Amino acid sequence: MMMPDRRRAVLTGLGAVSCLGAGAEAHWAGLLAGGAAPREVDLPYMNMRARRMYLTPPSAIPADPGTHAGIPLGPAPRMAVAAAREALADAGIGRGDTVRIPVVMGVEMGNASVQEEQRGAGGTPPWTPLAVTAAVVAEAVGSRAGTAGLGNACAAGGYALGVALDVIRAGEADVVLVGGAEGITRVGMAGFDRIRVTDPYGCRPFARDRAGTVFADGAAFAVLESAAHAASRGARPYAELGAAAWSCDAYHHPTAPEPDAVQLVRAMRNALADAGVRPEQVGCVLPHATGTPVNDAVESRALHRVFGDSSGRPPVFALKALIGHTSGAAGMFACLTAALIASRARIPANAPLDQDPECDVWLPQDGPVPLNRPAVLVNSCATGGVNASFVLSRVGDPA
Amino acid sequence: MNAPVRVRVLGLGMIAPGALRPARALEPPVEPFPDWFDTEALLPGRGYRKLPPACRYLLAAARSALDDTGTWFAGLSPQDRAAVIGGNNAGAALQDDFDRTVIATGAADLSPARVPYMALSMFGGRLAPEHGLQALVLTTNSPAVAGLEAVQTAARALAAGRATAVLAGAVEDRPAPVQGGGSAHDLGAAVLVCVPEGVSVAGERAYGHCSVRGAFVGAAGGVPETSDVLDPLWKELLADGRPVARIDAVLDDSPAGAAVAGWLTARAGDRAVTILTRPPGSGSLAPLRRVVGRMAAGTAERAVVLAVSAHGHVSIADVLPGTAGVP
Repeated sequence: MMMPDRRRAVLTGLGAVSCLGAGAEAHWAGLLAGGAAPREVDLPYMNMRARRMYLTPPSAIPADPGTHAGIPLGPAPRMAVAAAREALADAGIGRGDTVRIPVVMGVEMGNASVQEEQRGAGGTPPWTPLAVTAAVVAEAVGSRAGTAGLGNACAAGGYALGVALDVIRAGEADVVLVGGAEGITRVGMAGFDRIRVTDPYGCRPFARDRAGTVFADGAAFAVLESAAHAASRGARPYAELGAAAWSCDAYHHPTAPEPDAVQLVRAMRNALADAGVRPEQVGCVLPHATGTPVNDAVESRALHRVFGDSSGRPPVFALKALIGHTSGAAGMFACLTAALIASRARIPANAPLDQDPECDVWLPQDGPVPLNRPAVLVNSCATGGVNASFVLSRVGDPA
Repeated sequence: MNAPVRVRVLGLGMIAPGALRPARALEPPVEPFPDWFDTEALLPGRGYRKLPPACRYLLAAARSALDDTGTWFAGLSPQDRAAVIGGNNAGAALQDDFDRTVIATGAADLSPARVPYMALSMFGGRLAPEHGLQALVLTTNSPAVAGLEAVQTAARALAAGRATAVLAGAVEDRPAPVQGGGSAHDLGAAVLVCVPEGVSVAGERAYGHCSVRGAFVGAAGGVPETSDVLDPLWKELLADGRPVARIDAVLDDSPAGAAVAGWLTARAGDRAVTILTRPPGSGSLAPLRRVVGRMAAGTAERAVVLAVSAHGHVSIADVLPGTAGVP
């Protein structure tokens, strides 16, 4: 039975600031052009082995807002405001219509860079909570409907999307502004460097010589809206968010996935079932694929279990090879990319790689390929064994 | 718009200095004293002593809440068990220490065992292997309101069928002295074992029901603007005609806190009002501690627990102990 339109949710606006520049169009153009390259982080005391990130160009980082509640704001909340405003404008929602729109955000390290900057200058900064970003965005766009801050590490953005869907389906709001944003953090980079899961050179998911992930900064936002509300105001959706399923490995190791990927497979299958999509209707997969040796191999096996070994398995687009790992924002960058793929019926080429035979997934590298089936499956995972899988489906003709 | 869904609360756990059981949650917070948290007594077993203190507080609070619930939770499939945990400052001191270590000597001197806890979400995440939680484990982190936000998020997840039971809670530790030190209001952990409204479990008691509404009043304050935002929520909350006997407000002296205090003064009427004022930037445990205390008080009085952040977040918990007034 078809779900009623008030419970169906569609994406009607997108916004982004990343290493590919400012704007969702710059993001798409950057992906088609082959993505960005990592650079050395220009901060003092980068006393660690892997010091590169996929960095947002300074020209794309707005100067405002400079403070909120008296607290200085680093680049991450400022990029979030820019991406949120772009998503609202893209959806055709003006400032006078934002009062009742909740802001849901995936943020883990948030505003940490401000305190790190002060410590690096020899200061003793007072502690202030890191996850201020949703409040900054709510203030900037004129929302008074309440916020939600989700911090599931590198899957925070994926979980934010699921919470936004729950809000729509519960009838708490017709429209939700949902996003993720993260900045540069010395502590974050050093911590992952210490446990040897970062690559000093580049992010190479599924490559034979991959050596870990490479982080990135940026912000990605979407306007999620009930299908009925979007239709009532004539908004043109990029895609339908058919489902967002969650699971947890409950595995004893804090930073490694459960080797058999039982729970990741369950999340993917539940997402497909909830969306009413069969595996053979999936035309593209955006995996979590961080470039971490163990994780990519485990996710490859999980994809095999969901899609089988046949020639009908869908193309995989490893986004992080082109923009790095935006940690808490990664799930929303994947959502934004999947929405663009669905609406344009085109999948950008993967970064060239010498593929690891242990990661037997189909990675088209010779140029963009068409999206030949209606659905896109996205995985967003994190330390702690948390898994979020969601399904976007094409709506109408390609834009 | 639909009203927020309620959860039914089957178990409570509370860990704070001088308040190691839910019945003491309403007592004034006390400064931590030596050995206030006895790891061997509260977390018997191996492997706990090396965990960050806040992680131990949360594990102990969850264990206490599940002991309070009885055997029902353990009989659930792991795929039906979940946790949503709020926090702001549990990793504050650790982050400061890590950054100073990197600055002084480099990443190689960080403790690999503690590295995962630079992410606040790992504190709640540690519950997953401990109690076999495979439905979902999620961290909420909005300043000051994350504990109440955890109950709100848990209620949504239960309503969406994502889990059968959720451990909803908050965990906090005080920032290091060099970071300002925080306050005793936000040291420890609280956990509520939640199931969907209307679900009763044979042989298990229920403490009552709880729902949480959220709003954003902005950081600048201003009573008229705050009233525009909060009056509709207040009206909606009172629409069922059941009397609210008590209001607990957890505020700070920020403009947003002052504006909500002013709004509350005009709305409180003859209700018993308790106002706790903390420094801006305090954590998210204090409001949830009030919810636990009201649930455990043994009265049927309806209570409202309200939390405000300096950043402009507002959460309002509607606490219905016992079965009073629940349809």
